[in-house]
Amino acid sequence: MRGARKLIRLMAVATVVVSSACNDAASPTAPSPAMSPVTVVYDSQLYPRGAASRTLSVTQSGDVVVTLTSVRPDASVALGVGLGIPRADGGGCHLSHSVIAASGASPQLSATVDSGTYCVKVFDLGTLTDAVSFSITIVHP
Amino acid sequence: MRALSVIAAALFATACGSDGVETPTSSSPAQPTATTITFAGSLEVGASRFYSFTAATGGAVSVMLASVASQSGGVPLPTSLGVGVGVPSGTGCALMQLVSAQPGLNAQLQHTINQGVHCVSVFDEGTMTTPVYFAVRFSHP
Repeated sequence: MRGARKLIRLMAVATVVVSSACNDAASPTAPSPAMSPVTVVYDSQLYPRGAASRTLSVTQSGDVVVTLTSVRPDASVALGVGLGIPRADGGGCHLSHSVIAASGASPQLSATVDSGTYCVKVFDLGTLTDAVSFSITIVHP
Repeated sequence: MRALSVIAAALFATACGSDGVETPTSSSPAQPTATTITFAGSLEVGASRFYSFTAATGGAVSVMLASVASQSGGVPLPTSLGVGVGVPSGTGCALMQLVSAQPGLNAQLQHTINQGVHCVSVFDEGTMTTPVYFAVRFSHP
């Protein structure tokens, strides 16, 4: 009789231990990390009536922000800055947006884009008489 | 007592049956690769243009009217154009879905298609006053 009681007690303990051991608590899953924006600095030269472009690969949808940070030697020269998709023949951009930009620290152009390949184009507005150097900062997802 | 220990151990071993059991998983089917195409050209007032393609499998077509630009200087214009997806019919494209799209860098049209030959069309909705350049980027299965 004593043996039977002991058996019942031990079975009860074993059940508690087993049920707690099988507790399938869902382990917390870390949220997928937000991708940090990518910053690209594009330095080049622009000739009278010319244009220069640079492609960028955007891995997720978000905002592309473009800043013409400097034009040398004359910082007061305004240039055209545009954003679009690369031409299939590789010869520049099909522009979706463009602005007339004076160099500065504040972004002159931004747009929300899907993931994919895009391009930024810098172009003479017809005012250049000599070559200039420029610097563009592009921030994209 | 030893017998009781054996019972407890057996309980442990069998009660957590879901752990460690290998469930056969079917290998996930290969994802069809999307093909991306840039379709660009000039569009006359009142006209339409289309591009035919073959979808290797059924799936989603995503269409982005990325650029509408003047033919003089390529300046981006905010002109809306009609954009549609359909099937080639005679010398045209019989549209199954269409939207009025403002140029931008987000897809304006998504449509699910079956395997086979389809077309993407761009057309003047009656609002154009001068010919334009357009660029459409679309992806299909």
